[in-house]
Amino acid sequence: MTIRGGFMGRLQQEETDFRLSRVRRGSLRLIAGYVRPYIGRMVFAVLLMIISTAASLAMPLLTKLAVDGYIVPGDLGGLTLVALAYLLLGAVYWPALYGQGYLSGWVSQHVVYDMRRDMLRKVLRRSLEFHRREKVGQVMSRITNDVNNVADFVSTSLINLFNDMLTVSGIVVVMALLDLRLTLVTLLSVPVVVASLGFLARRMRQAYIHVQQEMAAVNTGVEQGVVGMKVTQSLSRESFNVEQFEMLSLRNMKANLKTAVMFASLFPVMTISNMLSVALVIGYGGSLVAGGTLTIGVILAFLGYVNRFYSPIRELSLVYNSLQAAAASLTRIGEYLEMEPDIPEPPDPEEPAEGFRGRLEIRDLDFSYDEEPILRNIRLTVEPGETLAVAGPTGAGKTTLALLLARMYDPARGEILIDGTDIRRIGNLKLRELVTLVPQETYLFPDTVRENIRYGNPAASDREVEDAAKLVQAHEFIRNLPDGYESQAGEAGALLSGGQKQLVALARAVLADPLIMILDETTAHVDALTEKKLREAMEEVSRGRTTIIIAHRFATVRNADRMALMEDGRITAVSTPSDLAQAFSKQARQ
Amino acid sequence: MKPPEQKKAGARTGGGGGGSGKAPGKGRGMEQASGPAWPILKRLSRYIRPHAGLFAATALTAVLAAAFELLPPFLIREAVDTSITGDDGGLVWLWAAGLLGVSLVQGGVDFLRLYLTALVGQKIVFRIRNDLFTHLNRLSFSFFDRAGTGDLMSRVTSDTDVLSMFFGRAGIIVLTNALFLVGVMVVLFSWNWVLGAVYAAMMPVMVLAVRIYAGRVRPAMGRVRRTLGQLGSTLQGTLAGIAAVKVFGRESFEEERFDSSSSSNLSAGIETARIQSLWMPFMNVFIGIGTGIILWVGGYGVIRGRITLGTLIAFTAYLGMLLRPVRQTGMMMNVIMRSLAASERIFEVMDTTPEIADTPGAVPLSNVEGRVEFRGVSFSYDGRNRVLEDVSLEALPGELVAVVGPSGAGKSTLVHLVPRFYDVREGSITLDGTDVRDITLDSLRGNVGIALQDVFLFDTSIRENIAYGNPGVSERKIERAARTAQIHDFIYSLPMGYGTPVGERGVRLSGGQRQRIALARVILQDPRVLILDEPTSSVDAGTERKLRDAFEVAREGRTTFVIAHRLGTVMHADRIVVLKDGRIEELGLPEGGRTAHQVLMDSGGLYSTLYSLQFIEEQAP
Repeated sequence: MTIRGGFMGRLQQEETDFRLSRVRRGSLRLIAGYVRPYIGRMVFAVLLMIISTAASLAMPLLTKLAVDGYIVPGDLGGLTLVALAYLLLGAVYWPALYGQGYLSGWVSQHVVYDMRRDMLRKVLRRSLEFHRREKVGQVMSRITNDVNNVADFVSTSLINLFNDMLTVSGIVVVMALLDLRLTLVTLLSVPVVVASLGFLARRMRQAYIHVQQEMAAVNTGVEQGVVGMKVTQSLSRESFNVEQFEMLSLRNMKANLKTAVMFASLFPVMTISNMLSVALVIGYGGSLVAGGTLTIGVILAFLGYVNRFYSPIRELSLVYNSLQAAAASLTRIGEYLEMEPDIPEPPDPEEPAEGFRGRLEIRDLDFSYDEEPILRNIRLTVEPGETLAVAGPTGAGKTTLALLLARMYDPARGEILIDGTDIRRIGNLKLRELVTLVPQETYLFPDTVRENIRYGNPAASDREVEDAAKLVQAHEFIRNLPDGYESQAGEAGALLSGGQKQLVALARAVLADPLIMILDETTAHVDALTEKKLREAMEEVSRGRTTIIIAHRFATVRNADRMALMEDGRITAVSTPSDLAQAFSKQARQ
Repeated sequence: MKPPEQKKAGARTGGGGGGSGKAPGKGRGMEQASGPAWPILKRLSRYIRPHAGLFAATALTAVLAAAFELLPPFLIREAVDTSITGDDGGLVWLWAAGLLGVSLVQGGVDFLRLYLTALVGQKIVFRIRNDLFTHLNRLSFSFFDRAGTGDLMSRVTSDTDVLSMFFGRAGIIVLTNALFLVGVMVVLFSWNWVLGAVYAAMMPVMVLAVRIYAGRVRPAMGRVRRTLGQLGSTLQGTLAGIAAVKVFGRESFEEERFDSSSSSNLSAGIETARIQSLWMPFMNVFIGIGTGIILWVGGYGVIRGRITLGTLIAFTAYLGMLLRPVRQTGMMMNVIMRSLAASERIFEVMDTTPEIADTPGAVPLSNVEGRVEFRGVSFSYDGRNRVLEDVSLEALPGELVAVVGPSGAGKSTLVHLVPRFYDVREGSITLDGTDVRDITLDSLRGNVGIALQDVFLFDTSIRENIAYGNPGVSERKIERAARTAQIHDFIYSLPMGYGTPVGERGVRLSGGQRQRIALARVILQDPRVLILDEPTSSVDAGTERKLRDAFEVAREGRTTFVIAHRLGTVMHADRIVVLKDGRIEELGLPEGGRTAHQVLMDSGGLYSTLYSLQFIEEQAP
């Protein structure tokens, strides 16, 4: 058994090949667009930043003044004034730093909020086709992680970048004004530092990606190991399982140690380069002082500036990394934000003059997934109030047909008409009122049973919710749940059996009270008594409306008005269930 | 950001709810350890022992690093006093070279220190992680029934990762920083007691500020994490139910739902930003102000001739070096707290004793015939709700026993007791007359093959999946097993044949195909007793038939238990056990030329009712 990085591994691989030049200009425009509404706050933050930087740069100057002006001459009164000036600077420095941090944090949090809202809006407007391709985890990771990356970039990296550049250039200017010779000599170490940090940063990023890949492999390994534990134990393969894991774990450790080498080098590089500058200040500055062309206070000021100089330099060398991460995230975010709804709302919705009655007509319908034809030339008419059963083997296209009828997809050719109006010309919300689909796989939201039923019609009263449950014979069992209608459904409440979930879904559909109901019969095999209940519920639901039942069991559809047999994407026969019973069972036995 | 919580696996709870035992998984997200720290630390220290030498070397580098860090201001002081303001002007470059030399050595020591700490941390965590995973492999089914996959995963991966920070960085960094901070104090006092006193007075303020910050920011960050988790689960709910959202046209409702989680995340984020931007700059400001005070106090001393200018300059140099250690120490205290909580979660799993293990006198069984007998078996998952009650049953070698009954009757539980996935509470189960608890697990499970209802295939090739139970088996045997399971033709038709990966990266298999691959896996094991749990999610009729055929061939020459949902299987059974509420309601045996099925039908009990409801369709037209 080889366990590889899987999806995560591939994702990381893509990022390794990332080049800055590939960042689309659109990405930058995108982020600018989100920051624009808060531009006033950003400008204010920048102003505060300039103030705090100035305060920070003034401190070494004060030190110089204290030493040269008062300590060396021995003026205690002047020294006291300088000390007080220090306190005053502190009083300006803190609020400026606070305001700057708070404002930029506030803006970036709002950018996050706005981006998430817009992304979700786009995602929700996409058809099931999109959701079939995109895994839930993938969408979630874009809406949460990627947006977070961008926010971090805005609030930390971008702001710091600006701050760092401001600080570095400010220091260079002040130092140059104090003494140009000493400045030039002191800055000799900068190219060395930038080059070595840049080198390390690149290596560190590669090593880090490697670590993440190995970690993803360990995660997959653990997941497989834990989920497959019962199989492993039933086949007595525990030792093999452990061996596999230890192998992954070892590789993970090696990758971590490789990164550790980089990280362990980073710190000494900083120490040594910092000290190189200090040594130059002491050596060269010292000899200038001894020569009488420099005062001791300048040396002191330079020592202060060197200290303030290196942490921005380090951050500037590393900013490229977070820029890369943010750029990759921005591209992914941009993809979502540029999406258009693929089931477009008609510009001028139509309705038949005499209102909807529920007559369904399918004309020459073709449909394909990924170029593979699924439905061919479907023609079918269902009269108001009629129940039509659709039967056929797996892969015949029954479920696809159901999805098309509810306009979850649009057909490649042909049309679907409700009372003579093409469903593409009916307003989306109106269509949802007219047609309700109960899909084969029941999904209940992580909420109470009551709210799950009410999902079909948010305006329904508690009474109406219970009436709907009664109609499908779900009321009894719901009342017997520990918290009755307030019991948690969905994943959190593993209380409900498959059949019970199906009943709740049926109640939900009943509450929506559509003119046309499409029931995709569940294939999950429930026990005989539940199955009987479900069958009865479905019959109850179909009463008084146009109903299409996708049938997997003959018993379900014995009472349908008509039955259509499907095979290979075509309708092969339409007649009464009793006429087609023979064909149904023959098909089932193939 | 944490990934969304994993779907819980194996959440089947045989009997009613109840199972409240000491299920792990609850209380995640609490960052604080609940118990006293000392026993945990003591237990963790046991993992250090094998690496004691390495650990001592690391501690030595920490001491050296702190000492070297103290040196540069010393040199600066000498440079200022003897060369710059003194007479030996020519020596100033010597002092500069000294500074660079010290930093080179210091860099080397630091590299060693950082690398060694990572090495120690990684080695220890490697051991802990493997121990934990090995232990998981010994734990029994009941443990996995209760525990969530996501929870166990995070214990094996992220909790151990936190520990690597603990062993690796936290201890050594705290040690280095503490030594440095104390070292500065000693040096300053040795120079001048006033300066030492000023420094000593500054320390409590810094510590206090760090504590205030930690105390405020931690709950705020917790709120950010919680609201983000909430946002994640809201989002997951919406996306997982996208079909329902669309069917009922509730997109805008979902947007509002998302918006309310997103808003609370927004306000938590802003609050955190506020606290951070208020307290993070504190140290910078404090050191700035501190410099002013030192200049005044020190300058006064210089003017009075009590200290040299070099001493004052060295002091300000020390002050500039304080920022990092103080901040880092605060961060590492946080790591230590999180490590304690993580260790608790790890040890909780390690302290769970396997319920199913070889008993002291267990022996392997050879030449198994396959006679299985249940004698007065009772079972309960949680010790309260009986799932099986006084079940007695016998299966002779080669017989087919069908187990039927409504869902929740205890059918799966009954067969899970044979390979000892769980142990009986009362009564006994024997294989060829030997109590299963007196047989070694390896031997028992080698002779009893089970195809579980929830098929699990590993994320690897089809070949490796089939050969999972018998590594190193020949290709020919794999193919034979696949043929018996009626899946060979399908596998052969795939472009990569048996090498085709299963799952995301490879072929997407239907339920029936997965079922048959799992069946081939069991067949390859060639067990004397075969247990088949028919899939309840039915596939279409054609696939169903293929599966049934596969079962038919597979059971030849073995004692077979089948949990049957379909008539075709039950009709030919030698014995039919009808379970209801954990008891045997009816037991059908062939009688006077009638099959077990006919006998039960004639008796007109539960079986005939179930039959008429459930199997009516297969009989239809």
